[in-house]
Amino acid sequence: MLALMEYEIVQIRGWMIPSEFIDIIAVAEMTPGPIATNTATFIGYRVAGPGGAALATLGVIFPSLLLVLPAAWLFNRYRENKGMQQIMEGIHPAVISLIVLAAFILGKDVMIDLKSYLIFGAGLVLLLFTRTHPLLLIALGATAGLLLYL
Amino acid sequence: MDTFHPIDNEDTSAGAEKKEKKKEDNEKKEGDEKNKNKKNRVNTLKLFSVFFKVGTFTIGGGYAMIPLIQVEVIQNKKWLDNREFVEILGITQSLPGPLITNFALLAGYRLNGIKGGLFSLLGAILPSFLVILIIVIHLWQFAEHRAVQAAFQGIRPVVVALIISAAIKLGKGILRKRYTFFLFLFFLGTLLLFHVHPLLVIIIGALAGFFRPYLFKNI
Repeated sequence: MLALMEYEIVQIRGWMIPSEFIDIIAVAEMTPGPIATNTATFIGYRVAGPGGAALATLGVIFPSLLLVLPAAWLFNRYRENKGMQQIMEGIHPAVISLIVLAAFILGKDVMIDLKSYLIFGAGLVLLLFTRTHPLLLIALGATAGLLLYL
Repeated sequence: MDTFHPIDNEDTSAGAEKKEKKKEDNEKKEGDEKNKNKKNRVNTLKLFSVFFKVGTFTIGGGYAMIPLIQVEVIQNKKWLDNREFVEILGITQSLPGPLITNFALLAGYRLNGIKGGLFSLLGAILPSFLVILIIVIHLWQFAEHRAVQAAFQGIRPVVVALIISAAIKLGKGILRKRYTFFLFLFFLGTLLLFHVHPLLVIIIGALAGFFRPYLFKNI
């Protein structure tokens, strides 16, 4: 996705220079929300102000809007169907494996030293054995980061 | 605007023949379904606010939203159960587009038709939109600040832990049959070793589930 964006925006249209594009992605990864929409908001603003930001964001979610609504309709219509339920039961393990994969991929970039493993381990223990709210844990993580890395 | 009934569709579009046969049955069912629909219908503003909250704290890509949705939508509000959640997630993963926007659309649609889908979507993307506008306009240097960098270095491992625990909790809830657990191990191994496309495991899972009566008779 980002590769496609870079090609269109930096190489074909020349709306910004490569280093500017890389800065934007770094910030898009830090801010909440999907990286695709974040990057679009950023670039839209840089190129054409607040209106550009709004339109670029809409543009990047519009294709999925067109696909997702029919899918939602179909799913709701057939979800009680016996064959559909069998299909869904087979999809469950695929979904869980993709979630674990996401954790692995993210973990490879993130677990870079002993401290990050410690934070990860402490977080996992809290999550599995206590009822810690995810937001509290994110706050704790930020605090740990400030204490350990600053 | 309130004419859309995602759950009712089943009755109105069933074959005429079938309907004749099961008319009595259907009438009763229709009544039940309508009640169920009413009960399940979730206020659009509530959908908006919950997805706004989820969108605000989804840092580091779409999968970080999963634990938050688990707590907010499944445990606190009880709008969806684990099974429905994983089903919606499965569709989300098979479609192009960011995970959180697709998920918000699908879940919102399930809970209150097209209106619900659009409000959830708006709630999910508005926080990041606003945060980014503020950053570009006022705080461009914010991201390079040392304290911010340090805080994020602490947040990232936590996000990984959140995703793993979400997978464990979901898996415990729905991978009860032995064959689903084997499929899970097989898919994870395939994904990690061969870097296959995510859509491929979803398709294989769907086929395995559909042909399960013939394939996995003994497990």
